[in-house]
Amino acid sequence: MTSYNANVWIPVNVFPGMFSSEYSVELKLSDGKMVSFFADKTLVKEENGNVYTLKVYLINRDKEKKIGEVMLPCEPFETYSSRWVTIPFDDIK
Amino acid sequence: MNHLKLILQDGLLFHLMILSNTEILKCLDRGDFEISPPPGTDTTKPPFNTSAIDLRLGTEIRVPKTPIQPVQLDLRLAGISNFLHDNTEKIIITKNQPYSLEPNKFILGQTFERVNFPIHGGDICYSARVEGKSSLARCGVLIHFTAPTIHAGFTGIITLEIINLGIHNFLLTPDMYICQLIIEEVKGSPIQSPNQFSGQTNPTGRSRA
Repeated sequence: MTSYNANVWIPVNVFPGMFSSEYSVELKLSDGKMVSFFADKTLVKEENGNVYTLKVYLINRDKEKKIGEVMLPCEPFETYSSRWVTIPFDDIK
Repeated sequence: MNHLKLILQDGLLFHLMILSNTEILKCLDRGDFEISPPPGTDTTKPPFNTSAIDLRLGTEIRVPKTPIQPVQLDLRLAGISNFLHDNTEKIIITKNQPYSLEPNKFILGQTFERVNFPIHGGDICYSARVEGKSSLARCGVLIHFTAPTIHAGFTGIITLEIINLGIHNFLLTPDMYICQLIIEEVKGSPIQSPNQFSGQTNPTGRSRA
């Protein structure tokens, strides 16, 4: 396990938000579960075509388990109040 | 570091307390956090209050659509954010076309101002709470009823959960002072390392409840 404490960008699916300043963001966790939340548009960027990435805070990266631990900009609806989630290692840019 | 010295010179009691109007301005000048557009420099005039800063209502609101059939929200299922988008209607309010909030009606609004409470590695950071204003409260209008916290690290426009518990319709107009922001220092760094996740058993993250 390696600690990082740095901002990184991870791939997400984006949809229109409830307000024009935000996107509805969908993210796949390391266990395959999909979670969703609203994120400010300044935290999302379009990479190529329809590929979008979200700015998150990388805490740890575990190469053996192939997961990364990140802090999201807000709590997803489906994680019961946790901004800290694990995502697939390969998703961390 | 200069910031820490300044606070120590003013006395340790300033730590972990609600920021006054003058202290809010100092922090804004230093870039400790941001409110955009900037609130001006005269702390004796709106939007400043003695221990808070007022924020205005933006132009977008979201009004829940009346469901054709009863719906039960289940946060265990994916896609909640898209459901909320699809089942609310966006309305743009103007000074000429404000929104009349009927009694017992719930809508979402946003502040006109954008805020940014960055987490600086190792330095002091700030969080805030959105609170209602007594003028609206006397009319029975709540601008948040369960989620006042603007966490350290938040950037964006603040979403307001607005409900009219009064008996009269209440007119919501853009630019009206709708809420106040109470700002506090956060003790310690919100980002721990290394291995904050050691002992975690839930792959979706550790509960922060």
